[in-house]
Amino acid sequence: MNKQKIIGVIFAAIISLTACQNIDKPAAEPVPADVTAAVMSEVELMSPAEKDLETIGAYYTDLDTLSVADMSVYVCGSGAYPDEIAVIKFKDADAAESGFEAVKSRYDSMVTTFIDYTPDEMYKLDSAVLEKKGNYVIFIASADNAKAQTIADGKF
Amino acid sequence: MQKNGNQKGSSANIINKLLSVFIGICIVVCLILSIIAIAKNITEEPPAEEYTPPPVVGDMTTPASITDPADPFTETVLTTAATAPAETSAETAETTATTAQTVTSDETAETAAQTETSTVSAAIAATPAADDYDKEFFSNWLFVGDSIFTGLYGYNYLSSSNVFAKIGLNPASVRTTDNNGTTVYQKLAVSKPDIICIMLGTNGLAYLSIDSMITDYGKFIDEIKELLPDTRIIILSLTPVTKVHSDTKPETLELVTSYNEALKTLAEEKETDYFDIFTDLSDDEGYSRPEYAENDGLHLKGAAYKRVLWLLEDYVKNGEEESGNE
Repeated sequence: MNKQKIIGVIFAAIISLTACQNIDKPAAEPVPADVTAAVMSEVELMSPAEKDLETIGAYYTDLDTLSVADMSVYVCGSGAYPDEIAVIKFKDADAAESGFEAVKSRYDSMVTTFIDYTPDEMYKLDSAVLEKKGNYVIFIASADNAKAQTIADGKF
Repeated sequence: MQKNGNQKGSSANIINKLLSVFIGICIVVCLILSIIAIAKNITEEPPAEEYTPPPVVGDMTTPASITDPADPFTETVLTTAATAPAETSAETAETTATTAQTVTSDETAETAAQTETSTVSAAIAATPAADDYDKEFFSNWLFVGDSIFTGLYGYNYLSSSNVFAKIGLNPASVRTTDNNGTTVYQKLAVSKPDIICIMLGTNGLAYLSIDSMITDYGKFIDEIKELLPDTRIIILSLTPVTKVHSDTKPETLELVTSYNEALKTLAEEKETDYFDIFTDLSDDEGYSRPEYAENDGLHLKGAAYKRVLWLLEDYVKNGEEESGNE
């Protein structure tokens, strides 16, 4: 009887601790390149050209690249379309907060440009995905933003 | 003996009670830990902050789905460019024609291109191999232009520090518009380039007269000469458009060729270089070759930039006669 109770206690403790551990587990932290690859495999972006920390400054002028932990960004290389995807992981919550503002600033500048330049393409920006998930900031402007968002959300 | 048995029994009862209490404590502690963990989780992982873009006034017409295919011609064209940069356009056209056996016109090529949907391949195609031209050769150049020139750094062919380009820029607005807070004159004063390469005018064709654009262009050239008298100025011709674009949009082939003629005259008057990239990027009829034209028929694919940079390098290194440009 005693042995049974001891085993019961150990079993209960293990189960409870495992449960606690599961609750403690943070949300998924995907590699940004995996997210963009998943989206781009199903949602078409026009003339995508990859940007790295060295070259992103020409597009994301307010972004502090020192605060970026990892990122995957594709812009439209030809400049003809607003198609773009950016999944940026920041080093901490504060950096993500200001990073979100930097990405929003990029979005605003695109709206200002394309509203007169190619109004037919504005629907991609009107329904653009722009959100912060923990330390990540996600921006997607494409012909099918709803689908892109579903795919991106599935990675978190 | 019985007393001992009773004592043993009461000890077992005490142990049993203690174990029960211990199990109870374990469960309570775990419950508390779980609640703390959940609370911590909620604090650390707020729900996604979603931004709803403001409503925008404009034409919201959704265009037909246009795809950006992996360029079937890129490899051939790049090989051609690498081996013979100064080849005539006719020779290159022949190579392209051989490769694109089923393509009989720009329109057909565009239609064919629109049916292919390999985005990942397109991304790979957009990444330059950077082996056909010397990027370092352009390190003290400044390219001034519109959205077409944004492709120079957009496709990662040049550093953005060597480019002053903005979507919508034309010969008039270049003199008054800033780019991320910097005017073209400030950029020129800071970078002091050896060579300035200008391509402007595409954006004005729809609503400005050629004469007014050439006048503004001339003023811009004068201002650059005053600011940087030792800097070489190269005026680039406008690039060709596709037949579909020419037939349906304001930037027609006729307007582009007329404007280029006017640019050539301007270059002679201002004693600057005029570099014709129109001929090299166009087919026998003067329309943009499908391997160089972006889906909108106006902008350029990555291969075109590589070709242009190669031609410019050859032109400056070997002079106009050997490069075949005037």
